[in-house]
Amino acid sequence: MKTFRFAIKQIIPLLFSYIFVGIAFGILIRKAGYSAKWACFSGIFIYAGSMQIVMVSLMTSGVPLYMVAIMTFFINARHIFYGLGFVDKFRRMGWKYPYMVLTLTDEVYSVFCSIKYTEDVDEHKVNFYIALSCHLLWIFSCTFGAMLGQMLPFDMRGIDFSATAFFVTVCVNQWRKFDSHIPAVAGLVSAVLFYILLGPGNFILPALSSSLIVLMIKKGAISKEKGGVKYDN
Amino acid sequence: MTINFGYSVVTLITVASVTGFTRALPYILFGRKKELPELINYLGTALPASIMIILWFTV
Repeated sequence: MKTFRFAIKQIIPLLFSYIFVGIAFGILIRKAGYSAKWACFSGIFIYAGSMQIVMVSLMTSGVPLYMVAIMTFFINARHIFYGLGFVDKFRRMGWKYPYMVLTLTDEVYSVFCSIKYTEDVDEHKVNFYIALSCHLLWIFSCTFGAMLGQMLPFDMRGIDFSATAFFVTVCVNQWRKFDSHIPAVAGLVSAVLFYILLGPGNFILPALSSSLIVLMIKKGAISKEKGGVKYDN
Repeated sequence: MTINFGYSVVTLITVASVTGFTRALPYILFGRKKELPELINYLGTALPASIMIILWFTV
């Protein structure tokens, strides 16, 4: 129970972000003419906010399936980068391994990167509870949005600031965690540069790729700086 | 709006499959190795700081 409570505390900053985007997707797919079952199945089997939203327009426009596959790959390609940090950790989790792999979203990745485990909790169980709780919350939000979203009595404008606040906190924690700030600066410069050049819809993959290249080139310098980066196996 | 049920089902399956594949790719490539390459260990530790800043621009 202690482990479960610890896990739930970690996902509190994500709650509103998940609920808001999930409901928005549910309303969108309902407006496109699909029932709540489609929202529910999308939440279960896709579990990717931006891709689910794009999928609605793909389903209604009749785009060829090979284009659907290509677009999905490029929109979700950032997940490849996330996985690199958790190969060793997840494969030690036994039967939960495939589930952990398939449920590593932006927000869950952020939580895993910022979490500070206490000695009295089982790290593997915490990670599993976080992944499972977030997934269930997402499924619920998508389904709720499709069933009842349009009847919500209050204005949800501004609630997505909770996601911005969460990511700012994680960024600050990452900055303080490592003595070398080259990774953070590489990310910042890449993000700003490609955001300006390519716009908000197309900057992520080039920014990630260029950060990756900088990190590989600067590996020696990052490792030499006092503290550098510590491998946690 | 007229929905093409068959096409919608195949689209959902395609999106789900490709999403799962992209998430599983690092594990497909490196999951079976006893020892992870040192470069992967290093990137796994150094990348989060870059990724978090980049993700900040998406919200």
